[in-house]
Amino acid sequence: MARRLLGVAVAVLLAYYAVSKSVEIGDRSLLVLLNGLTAAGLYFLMASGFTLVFGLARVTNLAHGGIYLLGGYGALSVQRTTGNWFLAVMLGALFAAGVSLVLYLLLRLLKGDDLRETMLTLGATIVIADQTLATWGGIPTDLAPPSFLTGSIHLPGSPLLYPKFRLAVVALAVLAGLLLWVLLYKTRLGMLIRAGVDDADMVSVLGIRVPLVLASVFMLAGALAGIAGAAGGTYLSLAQGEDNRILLASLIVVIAGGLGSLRGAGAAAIIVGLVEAFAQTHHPVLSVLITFGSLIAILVLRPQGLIKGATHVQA
Amino acid sequence: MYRPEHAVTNGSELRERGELGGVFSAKSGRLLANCALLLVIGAAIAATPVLVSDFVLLQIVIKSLWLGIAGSSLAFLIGQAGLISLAQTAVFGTSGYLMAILVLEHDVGIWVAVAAACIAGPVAGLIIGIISQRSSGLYLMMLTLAIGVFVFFFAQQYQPITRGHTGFNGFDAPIIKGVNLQEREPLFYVSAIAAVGVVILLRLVAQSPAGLAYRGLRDNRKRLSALGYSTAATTVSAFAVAGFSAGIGGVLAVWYNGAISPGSIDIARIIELLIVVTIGGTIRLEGAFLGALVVTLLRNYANEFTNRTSTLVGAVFMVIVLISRNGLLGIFINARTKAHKAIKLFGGQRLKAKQPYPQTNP
Repeated sequence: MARRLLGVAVAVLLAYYAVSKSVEIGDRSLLVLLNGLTAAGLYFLMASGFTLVFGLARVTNLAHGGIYLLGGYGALSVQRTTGNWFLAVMLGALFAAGVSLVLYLLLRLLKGDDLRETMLTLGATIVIADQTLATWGGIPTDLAPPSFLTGSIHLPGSPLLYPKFRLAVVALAVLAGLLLWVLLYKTRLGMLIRAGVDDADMVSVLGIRVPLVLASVFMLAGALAGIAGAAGGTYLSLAQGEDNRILLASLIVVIAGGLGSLRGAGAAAIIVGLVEAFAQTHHPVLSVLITFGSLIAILVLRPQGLIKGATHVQA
Repeated sequence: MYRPEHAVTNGSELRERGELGGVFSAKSGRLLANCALLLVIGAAIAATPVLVSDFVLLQIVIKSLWLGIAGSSLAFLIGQAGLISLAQTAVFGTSGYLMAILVLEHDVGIWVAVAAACIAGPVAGLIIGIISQRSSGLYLMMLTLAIGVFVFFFAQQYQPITRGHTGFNGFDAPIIKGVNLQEREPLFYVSAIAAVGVVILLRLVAQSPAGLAYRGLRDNRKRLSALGYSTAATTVSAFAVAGFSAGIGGVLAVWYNGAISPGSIDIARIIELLIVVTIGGTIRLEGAFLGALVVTLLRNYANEFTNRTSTLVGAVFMVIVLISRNGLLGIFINARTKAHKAIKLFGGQRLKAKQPYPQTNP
């Protein structure tokens, strides 16, 4: 009880601080809000795949950042040859899904030893990072957004401009969230995935081919990361080290939200995105420390995250 | 739940496997054997600078030694307590930075700074342990990753204390009676002695009742707490013990490099330390040194036939993870067991290991 009261008191103080700081900079805080939401959109695309894979296969896929980068660079190559952004995103996502599938086939060899699986994905991270460096070079680059999304628009009720593409990323994340919801709650595959997250052994006993479900989840997660890579590669940049940055951010989101919980990932993506944008504006020197500090605080208070995810996960 | 092949919680069984048969075990025969072993190691240390070239000594041997010392802290945590920590570079960095800051910013005497850094290791370990006392398994891994990255960003961003991106350069190792410890051979001897000391100390802890509690934590947390142990306290103390060797590794690394920067504790280093320990095998502390040697060799010599040394290191790591549960040591031990079985199969006499303890089971 005392702990809960303390938590509420701290939350109120933080909220007061955030609001007062935002009022200080006037309507520019709208930009902070939008930046936070854009980042949240990207994080959600990453974290949703990560959390599904974790919930179902109990694999902490540390190569998820590498797959993000591969999706982005794959899309870049396609765009350079065809000039079509949408085709680039689709093929990039397909490429990322393929790599994710290969990773799954490798992971199968370990027969569910979760820590060795994590180590294997760690090895894959290094190989992928080095190979992208060899193939696409170390100079930061980016994709050109499609023509109707270039430029900026006026925000309603203020003279401020905001890039169209960033708003599109938010829309993309919402769309992806809706599609995921339809997939998970309205289709047979989704039913199997949810059942597998709850009790994979039981699903297998019922005669379902769990490996097929797992393979499709890995591909889905890979495709989501690939789309995130293409989107991130358009409004941020594609560079060495981006894989680690995005992996860490989505790890924070996934852990804070509760491993294996899609709703948790959504909620945490918004919180982390906003906290990050706020900290970057008001405390640029300490921004990353604030993000990681809040994660550590959440984990110390709630080792299983905001929303308790997969039931079989021990905190 | 992480259950290595060799997971047993029975003390006598551990002794039979030689896991507990450490430097100062009760039987005098063992003691004698250990003294002989120490003599052999001492002779090997004395002979190494003569046998290997200056380049190999500096680039391979000394580097493997401090990397192995840092790795042994992780090997201890994983192998003994089943705690996979990605925050050992944070401890390593805390000690290294503290020493550099005290000497270069505050003109503190070098030995005072070294002592402070050696104390900072266990203290940092203690703090990390307190933060993560409630976590285990994958959650612990991710929490410690967050801590490790937090410390990295602190070093990079908090310029007033850490000088930000550039870190500290031009650090001079102590000079004893005209012998500069930053020079090749003295540094080698210091590192080698530190490595032996760290291994002996960690093994002593592993043999103590606390060590048994750590293995209980590794093998079955619930049973351990049912026996009246506090899993939280056990976790915290394991982190503190491991912090000691990570701190020493940090001190030696700063002597070796003459510098410390955020690059010494970034995420690549965090991963590298885990790779070192996994390649070597956590079944024994010495695995960390084996892994450090392999990684250092790969990094130094692979570029003669490929530009992609990182890919090679990553691929070697993946292959070893795929084929062996306990790294190279695991492969070696498996091969030995298989050889014994083959000899037995063909009617030969099994090379009997000395059994200082009476067999309990028929």
